Amino acid sequence: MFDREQAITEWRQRMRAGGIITPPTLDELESHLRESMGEKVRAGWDEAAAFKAAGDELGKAGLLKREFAWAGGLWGGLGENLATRLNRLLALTWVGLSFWLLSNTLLICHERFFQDATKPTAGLLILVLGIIAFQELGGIIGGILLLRGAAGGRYLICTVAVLALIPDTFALFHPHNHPATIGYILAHVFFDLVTLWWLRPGRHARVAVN
Amino acid sequence: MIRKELVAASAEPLVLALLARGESYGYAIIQEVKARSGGQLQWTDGMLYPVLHRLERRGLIQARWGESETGRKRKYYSLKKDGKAAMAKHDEQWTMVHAVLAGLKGESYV
Repeated sequence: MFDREQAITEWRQRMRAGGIITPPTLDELESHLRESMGEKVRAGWDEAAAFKAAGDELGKAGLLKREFAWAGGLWGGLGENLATRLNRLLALTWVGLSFWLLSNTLLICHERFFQDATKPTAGLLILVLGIIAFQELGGIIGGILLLRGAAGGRYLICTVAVLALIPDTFALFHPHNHPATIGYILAHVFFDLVTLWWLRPGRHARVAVN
Repeated sequence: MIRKELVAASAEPLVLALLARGESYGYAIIQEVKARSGGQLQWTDGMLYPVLHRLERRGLIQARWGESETGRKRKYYSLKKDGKAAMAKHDEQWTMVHAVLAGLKGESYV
């Protein structure tokens, strides 16, 4: 007995395995497959035969992958799959870095508040470290949202990147007030700027986020 | 059957010209091309989508997700201003090529 949904799921997995990794593209191709099948079935075709013919008409993943891989032109935009992979890399970097910073923040919080003899005002400490932790949570949540393709992910990471730029740019001009080295601050600023450029609005059309 | 190179070269101007008539989606575009060419222009269906995505990236067309009659999601494309300009340029070039060929054909019967 031909199971249409099962067949389409397997077809989708084959396309993914063949290199078409961007979910919106897969959705679009699947939509085409269903319409093509539907028309054939209405014309009297057997469902299994309609599925096979529709799949053949769409073409093999390998062939399509090459076409999706390059936008054309020497400096033309990145191909879909490469853009998707870079997006994932950026999202994972944000999650990883933010998580690392957050755990450091919590350690410092613990040290300064519970261990340090000269405790700063509890309120001030909690406020400052709370702001930092909020930013880092934003980075983690934003990165996860970006990985899952939610639009909020882009906005959250951009907000966090802008918020991070403020103290870091300040630190560049007053290095002595900042515990980190100039190299670290510059790397941080650079990373924030690259993130903002990469996630800028207008790239939305071609950056398939998942 | 039309030569591969000609099919490839005509894909972009055809898509732009079809979208100039109104918003459409991938499957409908392919069916229209097949119908209008009497089956002579047979694109591998899937190959239309890279073309559409490239046109979208270049800012010539824009896309939105909508619903089909059956309620399934479907991606609709429409022509942008830059797309209209690109279409005019294509039109100019194809007309020119056709004019030269037609002229040569006319001369060969003299």
